[in-house]
Amino acid sequence: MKLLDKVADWVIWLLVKLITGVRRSWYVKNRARVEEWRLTLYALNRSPTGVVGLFLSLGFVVVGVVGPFLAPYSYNQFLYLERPELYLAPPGTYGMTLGTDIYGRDVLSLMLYGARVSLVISVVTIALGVPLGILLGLLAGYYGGKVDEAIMRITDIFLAFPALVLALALAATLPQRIREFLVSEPAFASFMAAVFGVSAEDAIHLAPLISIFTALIVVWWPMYARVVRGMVLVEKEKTYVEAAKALGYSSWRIMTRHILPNIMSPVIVLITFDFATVNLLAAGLSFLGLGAQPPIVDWGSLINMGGSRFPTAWWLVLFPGVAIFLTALGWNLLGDALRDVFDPRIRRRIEFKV
Amino acid sequence: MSSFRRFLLRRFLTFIPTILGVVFITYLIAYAIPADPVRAWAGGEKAKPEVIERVRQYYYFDRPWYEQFYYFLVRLFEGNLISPRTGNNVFTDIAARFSVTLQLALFSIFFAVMIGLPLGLIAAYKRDTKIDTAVRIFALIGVSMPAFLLAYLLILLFFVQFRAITLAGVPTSKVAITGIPLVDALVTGDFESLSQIAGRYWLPGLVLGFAGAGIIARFVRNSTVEALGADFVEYLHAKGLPVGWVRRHVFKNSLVPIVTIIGLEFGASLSGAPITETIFGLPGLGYYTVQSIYYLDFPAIIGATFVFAVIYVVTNFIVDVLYAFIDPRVRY
Repeated sequence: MKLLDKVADWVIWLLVKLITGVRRSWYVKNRARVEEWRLTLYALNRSPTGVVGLFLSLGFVVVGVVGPFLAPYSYNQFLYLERPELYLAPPGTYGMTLGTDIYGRDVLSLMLYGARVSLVISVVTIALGVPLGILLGLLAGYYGGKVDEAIMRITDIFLAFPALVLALALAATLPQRIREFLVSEPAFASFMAAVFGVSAEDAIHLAPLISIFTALIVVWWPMYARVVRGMVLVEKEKTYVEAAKALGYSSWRIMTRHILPNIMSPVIVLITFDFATVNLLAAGLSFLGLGAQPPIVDWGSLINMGGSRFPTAWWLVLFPGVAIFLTALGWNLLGDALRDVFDPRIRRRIEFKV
Repeated sequence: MSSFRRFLLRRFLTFIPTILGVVFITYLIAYAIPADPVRAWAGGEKAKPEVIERVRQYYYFDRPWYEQFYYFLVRLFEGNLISPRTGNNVFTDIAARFSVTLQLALFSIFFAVMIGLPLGLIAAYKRDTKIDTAVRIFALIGVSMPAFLLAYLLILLFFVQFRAITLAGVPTSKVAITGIPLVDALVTGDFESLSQIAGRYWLPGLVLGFAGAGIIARFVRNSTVEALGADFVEYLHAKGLPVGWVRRHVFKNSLVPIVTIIGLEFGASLSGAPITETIFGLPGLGYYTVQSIYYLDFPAIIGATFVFAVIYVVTNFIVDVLYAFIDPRVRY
């Protein structure tokens, strides 16, 4: 725990250095805020489940970033062609720690590539879907009236679909369009190939993965619009908003600089949980055959491959399945702990115990 | 009661734009498909040109999109969408598969409540103890567990090892009254069919209900903790009521969020469980949708998505109405 606190101090120090590098006077003005961050991290360190979650989710991010570079074999090395005995080799045989798939590819390497795919899908979905939802929620909540009515009716329509069903329908219909787009825009295609950690000539096969995150973005923003609107309705009645209005600040400034920071902690908790949900949903779509197409793999498509050969090829189900489970569990544990840590009452309780 | 009726009417009226919007979005999704699916529908590469032409005309693919949308709306509301894959009316196909999904949803909600409710209550009464933490972690495991991992692990255990389940066929009851075998078998006391149905559905139900159990446990715990903190609890204790009695009062007061979440969970599992149904080979709505997607059967995809959205909206509505019945304090 002492060690973790040291790490927390160090992380905060690094962050402060980075910000003061850009804006010189920032630390002096925001010393209290930095102190609050430090206490938040300390409180997180005192929650065992939170620490486990933090390590699992950090591990997922690290593996996702470096995975394709660590992989002993490439995802397009079809070893089966030269060594027929590598067809569905069980774990531990022929020097393959986690076995091979039906093309004789090393499952360990495929899992490492799959981690990148999962990471990219969840980060892109959340980086694009959540701000859109927050923006619409802010506008609807702050302006009220007709703006509110219009935005919320549209949100309601999207919320009327079960998430998996809407994502399924979109992920099924989008790939063809996206494939055309990838062909016509080679620069975008090779950029996506680099992001997903696959070689540029396979970029065309990324269309299903791109449609998965497009589908998930469409599914994701309405929840945030609804939640943020609710919180803004509460916040905008408070005196600090009135004060800001009296000072003549613009609506945009009040929304982004005053209201938004005040509703950010529950939103961060939601985002943490959503890393788990996005991962599970993307894996589910991929399991149903809408995800990565050969030669590209992700965890869900490995399970799809193993599922039709179950229980013979159990390793194709077990390892990716456990990877998805641990990823989701990590984010969920972290989110659960963050919810307590961000709650000032519970945070004080944790602090005074130490 | 007249205000209640007005509330019903108002809630009901807000549906119409929602449902219309749902239809429009589903249509947009179908319209996003650029590849001309007609050739595939007419029978692939060897299809005769006149057949292709006839299919194209039948689905109005030779008209501009707004005309297509108009005819599509007409057919949808007449209940006259024809699936090019099965040649049947989409709604007939969906109705035929609904009983499977409904039975699966019933089994799943049964497990979710049977596991989630007691765990949540225990956690609330043993608040801040190891049991509470354990339930909390169980709930998180429940929502983090991918359905396919749990399903394959349980298949390995119960099918490959113990042969305790069946994985093929769809059991029916001897006498058909409602068309839902589970209900029919229960009503007529047909235990043979009942055990067949249970043998087929209990494991997929458990898989589907597992995540729900975690969510329900969490909700039950939190709302019971909240109810326990209310003043009336202290008063009842002071009055000298036995603990069991007090707990009954607490339970009643914590019921609103619990009913909400159970209703929503049930609605969600009614709108198909594509993954669970695919793994267990259950020909329900989710499986139907997935198959339609594989065969680019757009009328079926649209029909199914539409039905799902309607089911979802209707369950939300019923939950809202239940609110008002359970809790007289709810204003409407």
